[in-house]
Amino acid sequence: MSGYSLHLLALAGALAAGAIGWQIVFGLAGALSLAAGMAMGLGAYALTILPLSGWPFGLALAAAAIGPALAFASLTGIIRKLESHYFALATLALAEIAVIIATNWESVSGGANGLLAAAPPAWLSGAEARAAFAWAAALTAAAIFYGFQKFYGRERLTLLRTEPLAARAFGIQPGPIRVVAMAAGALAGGLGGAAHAFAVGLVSPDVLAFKTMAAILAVVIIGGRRSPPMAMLLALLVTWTPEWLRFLEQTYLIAYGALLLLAIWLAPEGLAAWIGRGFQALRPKITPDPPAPSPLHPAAEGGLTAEGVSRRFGGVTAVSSVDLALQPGEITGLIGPNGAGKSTLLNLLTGIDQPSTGAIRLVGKIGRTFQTPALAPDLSAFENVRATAASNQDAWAALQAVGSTKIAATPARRAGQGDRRFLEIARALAARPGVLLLDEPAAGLTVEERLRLADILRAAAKAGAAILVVEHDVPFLANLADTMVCMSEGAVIASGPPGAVTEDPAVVAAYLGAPLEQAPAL
Amino acid sequence: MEALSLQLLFNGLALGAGYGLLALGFALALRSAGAINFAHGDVAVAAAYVAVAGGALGLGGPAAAGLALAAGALLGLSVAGLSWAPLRKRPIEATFIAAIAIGIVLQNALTASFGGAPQAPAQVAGGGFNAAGVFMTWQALIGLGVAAAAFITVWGVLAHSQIGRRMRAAAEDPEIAAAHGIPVLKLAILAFAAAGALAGLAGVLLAAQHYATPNAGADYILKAYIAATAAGWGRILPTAACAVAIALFETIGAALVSHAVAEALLYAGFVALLAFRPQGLGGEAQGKRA
Repeated sequence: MSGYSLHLLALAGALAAGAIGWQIVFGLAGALSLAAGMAMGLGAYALTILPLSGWPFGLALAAAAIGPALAFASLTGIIRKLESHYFALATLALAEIAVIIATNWESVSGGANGLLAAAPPAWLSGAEARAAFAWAAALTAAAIFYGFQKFYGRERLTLLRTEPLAARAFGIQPGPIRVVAMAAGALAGGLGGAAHAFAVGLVSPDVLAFKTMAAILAVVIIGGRRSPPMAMLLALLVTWTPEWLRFLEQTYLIAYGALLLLAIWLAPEGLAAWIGRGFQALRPKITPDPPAPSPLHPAAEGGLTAEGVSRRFGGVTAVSSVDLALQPGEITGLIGPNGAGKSTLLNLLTGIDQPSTGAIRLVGKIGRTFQTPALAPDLSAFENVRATAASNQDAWAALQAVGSTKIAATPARRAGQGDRRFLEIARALAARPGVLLLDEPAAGLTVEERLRLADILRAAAKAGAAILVVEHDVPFLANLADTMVCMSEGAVIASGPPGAVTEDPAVVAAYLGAPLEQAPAL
Repeated sequence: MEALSLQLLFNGLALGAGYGLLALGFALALRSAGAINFAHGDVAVAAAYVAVAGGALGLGGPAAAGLALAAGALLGLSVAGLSWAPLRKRPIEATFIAAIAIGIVLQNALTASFGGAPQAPAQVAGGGFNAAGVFMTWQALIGLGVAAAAFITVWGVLAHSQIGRRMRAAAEDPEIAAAHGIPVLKLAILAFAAAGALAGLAGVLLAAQHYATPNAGADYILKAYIAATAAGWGRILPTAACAVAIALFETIGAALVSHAVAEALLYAGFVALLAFRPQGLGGEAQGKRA
């Protein structure tokens, strides 16, 4: 290989490391950061500046990786809760600050012209060694990627990206995951930047600039958001294309932008998804075989009490000093007209929202379902349930408990409406909850499915779970529940045995205009 | 000293006219289509270069500025057609990345055809006069006048016209608006075109005073964003006030310390604002639509 090819190879390895770092941030954690170039730049500057002030090479290299990781962890810490467009612009602002500092702090950074890198140690001085170093950085980045994915769980991360609200209800907090992803991504990017500085022998604000971010975007969006091997392949292509298209001069960069746009339109999951489809038969089976049915029900014993819980939004009181006690082994029905505050109360009990005043005490874990099933559409039924389970075993036990093992391998988007409701219950059960909160679980179910639902909930209650069911179908609920609670305009207006509550004059008045309809008795 | 600070104030206001127009277009697309256009800054830069090209072909300042306005509108339409319309039902990041891709195409097309050196289009009007020790250029005064007229027009249209009410309804809940027979997609595309025209005007004003490079789009959009965020998402008149404040901060900071320090402080302040007061300085709850 010629020296120039080795040089390109080193540049490609450095770009691959940076791109894989961004795959962790965007592909796995779903955070649109525009500071991937900044991570690489920090690594490049650290590896150049520190040896100039006498740091030994090994220490400077460690700082080039750990420095960006620490910087990104602390900076992301303050912006971790922002919505995606704010997050994107905040990271762009940080990256612009980095460019301004690098361009203007001439005594340290060498200004716009940059700095010549210090002479590398003897073992790294050859072109081969520099290329090997860059690809070692890329492989390390890939190891960080897979480590991150393994640590948080592929299914959990998918749930976080596609159904963030459901993820939060199961205790998957986006903020801390963003911080760790940005740190892990910067670790990989910093290594890539160090490799870049080595390969070029020079560091300048160029590496920090949006150009680097644009190259990383092209590599990841065209190649695939969650595929380090594709990032490596695309990094090679992106590095060599300008050589092949040299006669086009600047215009090849226009082609990047155009290809990026095409990829977003036609292949939102990147080329990796197409290639993946081609090799489907070769891929390891994601859904393992079911174990023998477990006699142990996944639900555990638990309970929940709410005392004087209120939630105000501006001047509106959505929930007004609600007292509620969910007892182990008991099914509580919650009814009330639309806008009574039932869903807000569920969000408060689940911890998605915080009460303005009042206290909630919880015994055991909490599992919930949503009015509109919030499943990750591209994950299989099993994988969706696996997202909240501690083990494959628990996921299977939950699927068995709702009788949905047959559709384990079906993608959620292809499951029927009824099946989705049962999968949501399975997902809630998979966390081995002591408390189960269900938001209109019978909506859209057939008569047979309603019978099945009632059996599932009775079995969970028998295993000790405290269950709260929000439902519009009052006759169904009256048959199922041990206790009934009725809310209206944010407050509890009646509670007690189902028969007494449905005939309570206050309840009938609250439902006037929307009479308690007759559904087939169970 | 007093004369100097008055001069700074005037220069800051003149810069504020450019930033204001930029932020106005951004807020308009936001308010009336619920769309965030990440290529907004690049549209402004590209329109400024169209004016430069117009000047090279012999057009005078006003004609070149008109050409930039038309180019901005056309580019706004292209952004709507290429990034927003086809992807608006997908996860919102898809529209962001598509707009960034358009920005990359624009930046490199400009670099390929004009080179990376800073460029300035011809002034709309040359010269100026002294008043109270302040040298006022006609260019800056015209810019201020155009910006003020644009703000009043956009505010009036959104607040008091049928089309403005329909636009706001479409942005707040596209499905319900469509069910009531409002042509949601057409209105949004119209908003993108208007936002692009405003960006085109902003680009030509900013570049005539301070030059532009093909990569200036990132700074432009950050400033428009900062103004829109600080004002409270989608509020038109506070956005103008914030844009002027940003320009004054930048002008005075550049005079006292350096432009780089002023800009870095501005961005750091933006991050701090997002972190500690995400509802904006205006206090209105925001971000629900994004």
